[in-house]
Amino acid sequence: MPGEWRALPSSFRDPSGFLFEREGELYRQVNRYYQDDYDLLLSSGLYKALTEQGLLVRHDEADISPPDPQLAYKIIKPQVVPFISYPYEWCFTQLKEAALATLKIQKTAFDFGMSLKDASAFNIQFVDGRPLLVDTLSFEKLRLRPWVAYRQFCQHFLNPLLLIAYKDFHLNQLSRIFIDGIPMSLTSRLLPFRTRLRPGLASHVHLHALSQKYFSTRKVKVRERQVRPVSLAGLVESLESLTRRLSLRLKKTEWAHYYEETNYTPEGFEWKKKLVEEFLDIIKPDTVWDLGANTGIFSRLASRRGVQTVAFDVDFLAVEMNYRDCLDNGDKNLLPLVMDLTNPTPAIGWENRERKSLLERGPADAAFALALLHHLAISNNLPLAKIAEFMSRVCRWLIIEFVPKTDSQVQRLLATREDIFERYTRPDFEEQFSRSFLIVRIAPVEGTERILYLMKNRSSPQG
Amino acid sequence: MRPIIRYVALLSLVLFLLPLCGYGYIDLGSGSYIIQLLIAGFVGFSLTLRIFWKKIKARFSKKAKPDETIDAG
Repeated sequence: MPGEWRALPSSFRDPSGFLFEREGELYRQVNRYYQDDYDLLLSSGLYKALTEQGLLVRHDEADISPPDPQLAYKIIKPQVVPFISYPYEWCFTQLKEAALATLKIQKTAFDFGMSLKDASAFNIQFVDGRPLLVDTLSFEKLRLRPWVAYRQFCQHFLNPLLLIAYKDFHLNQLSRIFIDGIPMSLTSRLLPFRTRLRPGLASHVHLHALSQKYFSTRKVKVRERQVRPVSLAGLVESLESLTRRLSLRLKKTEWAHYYEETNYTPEGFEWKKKLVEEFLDIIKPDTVWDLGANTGIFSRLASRRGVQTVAFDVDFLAVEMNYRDCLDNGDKNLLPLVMDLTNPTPAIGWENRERKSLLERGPADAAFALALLHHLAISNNLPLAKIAEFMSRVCRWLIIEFVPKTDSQVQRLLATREDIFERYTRPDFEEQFSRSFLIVRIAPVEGTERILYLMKNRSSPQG
Repeated sequence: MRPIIRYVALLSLVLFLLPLCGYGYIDLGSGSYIIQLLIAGFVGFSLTLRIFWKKIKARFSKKAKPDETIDAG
């Protein structure tokens, strides 16, 4: 008798199979429909080649009863991804690395007589700091036909990359609205005029959009055409060289230079690090969310201990710098992501369940809220009670810094607004947070007026 | 790459004259399919030319310097 199982709401479109959970473990059913391609993936050596290069998720075949025996061919158990992230949470380099990984996978697949039938950015996840294809069922036998996932690649990867590189990095958020990728027509209209003069861009984006528009209003008989292998390879190579040449010119932002503009003395800063380390020794977490992580200096205190750490920040460029540091230093346990805590990622897609909200992906064992409280309470008018409530939903342990109103950074925030924050005081802070948390440690940060708290959630939050 | 540049430059001229419009429930697949065929055709053609050119160059350079291998990209 099959045990209790639950199909994942993100996995229902593909007739090749689906993901399901049973007794807390994640499995994938491979359907008979996909039998030939699955066997070819393994027998051709493509699976071995891709997993050895760290490009495809590893799996084991599981000897358990399938949830849908009529359709089932095999059940596989994929390697677990520590934290699921989405393209609209990635910085430029993460998106670019994910795009290049997809093209590299496609090129490798060609060598083994296979091809990607999906090029969805949602199929890529960051594991050990690198992009990994997590959908084992994305391959099909290579046929000399146009690449079926070409449009998807353009919409999911090329378009957001171009819009970030040529217009504004905030446009990455368009991926959140357009779940199947940013439309060609929109990208073509938003990109500056000069992009029409570049051959690669003119053809893959502008002519592509034009061609879609032209043929959408005409009944065309598209004949099955053979495409020569050299043409298929050329297409992928052309997308690759276009992607590889894209770069993000960094500009100065208030946040990206936050640490240089901090009011900490070097000693105060080191003292704060020491306190965080001490608190981590007490908690011994498996997962940490650093909320308002900036470039991830404090996140690294956790990730260097082997703790799976996610470093969230609202500033795209701070996340960009953080990820580049991860690449440079080979930091495997740190995942920097763009996140506006005042408007965190919602659940989107079919039935609002296809892609998870931030809260659904928690709780973390521990959260850091360092130099964050005043931004939420003063810049965003969030009452302390509301902040405490949010924190209690995302973590079991909390390391939070109270920044008093007399602090020069708070004074900076108050310089341009009326001080209506009478209840932003230490006693109020302790009172509000004590409703959900037990205060375990209170430690002043030497050389500053700031205080670091270690708190334990009174109830274990539900994910 | 030259033939592609010429081809795209010509077609991009057409683009300036035809502004794009938004659209609703229509299939965008055929347009993507056709442009892909065109791009793949031209890129494939240019790749073939490059390979062919490398071979010719290699043949001549072999005569001059037998040690030099195909390295012109």
